[in-house]
Amino acid sequence: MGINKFFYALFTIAIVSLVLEKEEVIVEITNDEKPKVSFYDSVMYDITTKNVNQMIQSTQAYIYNSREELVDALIVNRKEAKDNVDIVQADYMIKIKNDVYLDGNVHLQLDNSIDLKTEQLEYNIKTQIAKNNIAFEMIQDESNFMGDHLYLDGQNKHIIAKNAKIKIKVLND
Amino acid sequence: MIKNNKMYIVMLFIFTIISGNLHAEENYLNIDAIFFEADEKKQVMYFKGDVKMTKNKDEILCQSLIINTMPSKEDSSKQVPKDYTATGDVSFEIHTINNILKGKGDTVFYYPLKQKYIIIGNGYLEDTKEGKKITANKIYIDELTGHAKIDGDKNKPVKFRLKLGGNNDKKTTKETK
Repeated sequence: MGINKFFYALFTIAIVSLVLEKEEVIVEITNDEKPKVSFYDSVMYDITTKNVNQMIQSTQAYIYNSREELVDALIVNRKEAKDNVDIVQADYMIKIKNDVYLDGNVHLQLDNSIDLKTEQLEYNIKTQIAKNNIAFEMIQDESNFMGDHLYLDGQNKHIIAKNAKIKIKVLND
Repeated sequence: MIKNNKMYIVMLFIFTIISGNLHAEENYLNIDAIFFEADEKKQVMYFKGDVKMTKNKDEILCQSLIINTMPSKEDSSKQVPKDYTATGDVSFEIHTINNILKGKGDTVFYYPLKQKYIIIGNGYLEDTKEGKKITANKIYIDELTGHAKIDGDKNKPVKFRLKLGGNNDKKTTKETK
């Protein structure tokens, strides 16, 4: 009876750990893979018939099969329905489809209202969700946010952080 | 004459900078907490764990703080605090024009537009200027009128007038119904 319970518990733990493993985003980088294309001091534009949707500027850009690596990079993303732009800037970036992994002097500006500075960040250009577990500084409108373990949903303006130090402007008080 | 004018301009400049800084400082609320969450759609900000909120000399310490927000009258795209609910070992210090109030309680509500505080559960209020101390289950403080109402445990409401710096609070009186 006791052995059965033990096996049930073991089975449950195995299932849970499998599910948890699936949720993790793993970026696999093989050092021996050679880039298909390399650019130096380049500016790339994503142009439609109506306008320029995205601009990517970098001192070094390496395009691989499934990812792009950028050095001293700047991505300017134009919003479709608005005149606002989102700006992503970092010393080093790995871009896999819409997911961008940023490292060193990370600067994220969203919707002309959020200004985030940190050293490392995971960011999705489409969902505007930014995550990290290190210290960050953020200005939203005229309020200041500092802390670590940031979760920011830029579209829904939903922010979660730990060890927070916040300075909020009170207009009507 | 020219020297005096120069002095006057310099003093005016210094005064402008100082008053500008004071005004700017007054409009900011500083909050420290172990955990923080803000949801603009739900118009709420939540702070948990060793929460410390300060505004100028005013201070509130608690374990949990919820701030409901609303669109600003000046700019509807921005959110401003509508009301505050502090819970868990709440203690506070409020600096009025000519007084300092110290309080404690299980839960403290603050309505900034009405400038009203409500202390609920193990309420304690100390008027440092008059040296008066109140202990009650519920304490209502109105900063505008300088009036405090106290509800005791034994269905005996007690009214207590405190000197908070309002216009019509010349004397400290105590009434028991």
